[in-house]
Amino acid sequence: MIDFSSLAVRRRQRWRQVRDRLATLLISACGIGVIVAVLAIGVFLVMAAWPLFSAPRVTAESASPGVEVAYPLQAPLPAGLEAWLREQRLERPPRALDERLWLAEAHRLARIDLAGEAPTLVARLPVVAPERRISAVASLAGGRSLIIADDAGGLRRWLVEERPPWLRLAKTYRDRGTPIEALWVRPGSRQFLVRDAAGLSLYDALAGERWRGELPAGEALGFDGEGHLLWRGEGVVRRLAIEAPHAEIDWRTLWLPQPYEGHAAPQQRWQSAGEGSLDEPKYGLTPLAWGTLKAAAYALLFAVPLALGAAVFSACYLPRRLRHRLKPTLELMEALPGVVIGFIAGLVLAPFVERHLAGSLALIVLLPLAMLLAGGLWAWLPTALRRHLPLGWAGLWLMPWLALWVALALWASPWLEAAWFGGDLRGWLAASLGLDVEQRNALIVGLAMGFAVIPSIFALAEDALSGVPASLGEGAQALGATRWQTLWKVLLPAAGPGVFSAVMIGAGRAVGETMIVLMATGNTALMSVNPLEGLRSFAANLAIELPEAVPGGTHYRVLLLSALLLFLFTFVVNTLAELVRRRLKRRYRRLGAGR
Amino acid sequence: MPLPRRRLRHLPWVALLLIGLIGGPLQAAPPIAGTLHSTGSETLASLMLRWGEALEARHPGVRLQLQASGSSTAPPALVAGSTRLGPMSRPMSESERAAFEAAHGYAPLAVPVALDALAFFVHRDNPVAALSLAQLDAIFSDTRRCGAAAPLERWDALRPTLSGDISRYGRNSASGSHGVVRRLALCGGDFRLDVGELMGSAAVVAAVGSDPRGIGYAGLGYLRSGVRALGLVGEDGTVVRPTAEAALAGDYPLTRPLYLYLNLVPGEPWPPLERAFVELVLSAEGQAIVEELGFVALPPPRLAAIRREIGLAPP
Repeated sequence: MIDFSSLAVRRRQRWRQVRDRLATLLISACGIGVIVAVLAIGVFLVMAAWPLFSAPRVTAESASPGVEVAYPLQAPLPAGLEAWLREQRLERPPRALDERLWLAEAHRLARIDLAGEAPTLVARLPVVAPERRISAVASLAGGRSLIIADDAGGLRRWLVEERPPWLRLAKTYRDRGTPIEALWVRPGSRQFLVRDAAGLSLYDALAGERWRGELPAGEALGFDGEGHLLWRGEGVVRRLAIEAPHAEIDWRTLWLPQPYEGHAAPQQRWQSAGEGSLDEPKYGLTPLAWGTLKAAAYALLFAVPLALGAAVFSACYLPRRLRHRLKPTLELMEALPGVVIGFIAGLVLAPFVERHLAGSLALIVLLPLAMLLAGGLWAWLPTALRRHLPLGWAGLWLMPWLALWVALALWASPWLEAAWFGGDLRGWLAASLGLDVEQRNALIVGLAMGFAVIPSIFALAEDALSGVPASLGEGAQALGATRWQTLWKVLLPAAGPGVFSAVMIGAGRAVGETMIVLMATGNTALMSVNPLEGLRSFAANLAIELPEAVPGGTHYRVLLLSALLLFLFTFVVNTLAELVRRRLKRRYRRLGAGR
Repeated sequence: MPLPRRRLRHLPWVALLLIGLIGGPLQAAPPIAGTLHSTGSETLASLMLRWGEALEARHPGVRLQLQASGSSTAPPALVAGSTRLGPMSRPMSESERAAFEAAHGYAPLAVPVALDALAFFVHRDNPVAALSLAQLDAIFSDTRRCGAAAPLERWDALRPTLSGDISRYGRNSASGSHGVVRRLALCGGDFRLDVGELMGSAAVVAAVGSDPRGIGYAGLGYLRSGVRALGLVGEDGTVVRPTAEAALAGDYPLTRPLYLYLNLVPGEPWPPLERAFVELVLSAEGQAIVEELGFVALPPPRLAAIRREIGLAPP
């Protein structure tokens, strides 16, 4: 006889087990998948940025038969110039040719302009110490930089100028050493090879020496089409393959001021040239990092007081019933897409603020003052009226009051500007405070991004504040503390770490925010604290330039490096915030919170 | 199971039809294959690259090998015969042409393929009508390679009745216009750091339209009602208005024709590779790429004239 019921039970039992295992598998696969995805993105960024910092390699290999010199070591002189030089009885001194001709004469360098009918000598410039002799000159692509080597081993980069003093020293790669015999500029790049008695070095115009090795026996012939050096030794042609695609990048060129062409002083600049362009690319990350932090700082400056105020109001002052209504409403703000906020900020708010600049700036001072004034006036009000304006509802009746002041400030804006600043506030700011004004500036970003960050700060801070065990606040009030004292001395210190982590999360959000910064600023890679000037953040820069960068190129890899930095920064900030929050939870438990 | 078998019965026919469809045209015209070498202008590099891609899409098996280190590298390469295509952003000089003729015995064929043109815009209430290139350089550049001694910071320096700081708007550095202004108006120098970098020419025009102190550059076709395009003051004091006609006539200095130089023996039929390439460049598709990259496409009548001149069938 078969026991059907036990069979059914056993089957159900087995099905339960299978379902449990299946669910466990699926859920853990999802969880691990997310973690792996995050790690994979990190690994991808590291892998993409890594080649930037790998050392250049120069390897001797046998040249394929039929390889030809595409670029001679020194550009041949045009026929007319050759004759002119012979006429001038100049034998073959070290020289460089670009739009001009540079001829070495002992320790001086002659600049000969070729634009006119006949070559004209412009100046003889002492570029090395009188006791030395120039041993080699080379002109970098574009003809804006000269590399000058001397027989005492000095190697310097000079920038060409259109006005006297004609040349300006930009960088001393080395001052002394083995006398330098020859300089060869790699075609299509800003790298050059330096041959001295002891060996061969590869330099980058910005980063300096990137490789040094043995000098092969024989003589250099020239560069082939790909920029590798062809070399004849012991009767066979060999090729020195130079693998230095990212030679201009090291931590100094990324973060420190560099002597760029056309600028009198070293500069921190982000101005990428197109890939394959001969213009000097400027990959200074400092202005971008500065812009990122500046945008975040102004956003927090605006968002933190408002969000914390709202959180305190909701957690401590509002009746529970209303609180449950307010929270979702505020969180609705988060649903607004960044593009929309950025668009409104850039195309509506920015021109408006610029038109009413005096009024808008006055408001920053006026609004807090108006609130103080309201507080003062309230204390003077007759009791009957005071009962109609309860303090707990101050938020409501303050609104018309503040709106009145906003209207007043905007109405008085032209008058203010005319009376105090001669009708031109921008000119006055530039002349007397040295502040430039741009239409799309950090103030606008601060407002727009602050608006976007408020919900996340509010939500976390509100959680932290309302999580403080009620017994603490009630105890303080029972002992006679005022609302302010309870808040300032008891609730805020208790919830402090939570509030801190809320601000951190807000900072993380502000640093990573892309579209608002992109649309509300002019994306100018400036380094100033001036709130009326623009900025360029990492995220906006990535959005602008990454689609156009050639994958695998230096520009692309530097962009991904900045993405990695952004990722790490947000990761660290968020982790820190999370750790702080966890500690806070433990503390509440110790303090006897119900949950 | 009879049903699947019945379905399968048609398979050979379908396969045959497919082979016929794909293989037919291939048999009709011999496929064009091989490698096309090009040496020359850096300005044209992006265009050549895109045209090369389009050519590869049209004729799989064709490859364009590009070397772009400057227009001046084109004539020597054409003379030496190491390339048959020489893209140049300027016409060949007399001596370059002479060297080519000395080597080959005939003149190189110059085909205009696109125009490079931009305009500077100001707010419609701004009374400034025209500026010189040196003034634009002094406004936009901090290297001032065109020779101005001091930067221009304020509008009153240009016209005493005006006041206020100049706010500068431009395109992002990845755009073609950014590069064109750098080359043509800034003499190859650097932009100031406070030149706004906006996404798209339309955004530049919108920003200038909302800023009475603004000045910005964009492609010629972006003129809107809120802004005015500035004329350019030449060295002799004459003002050239930025119009497509002036650009096409070569009067507007922020324009230049871009050329493709070819080494072709006159009177002989064109080699199929070069023919396919020039055919593509002077087609609607090729000119759409020109527009896409921020250059000015050749107007259709001019295009037809060029095609007629070099013996291509009308589009």
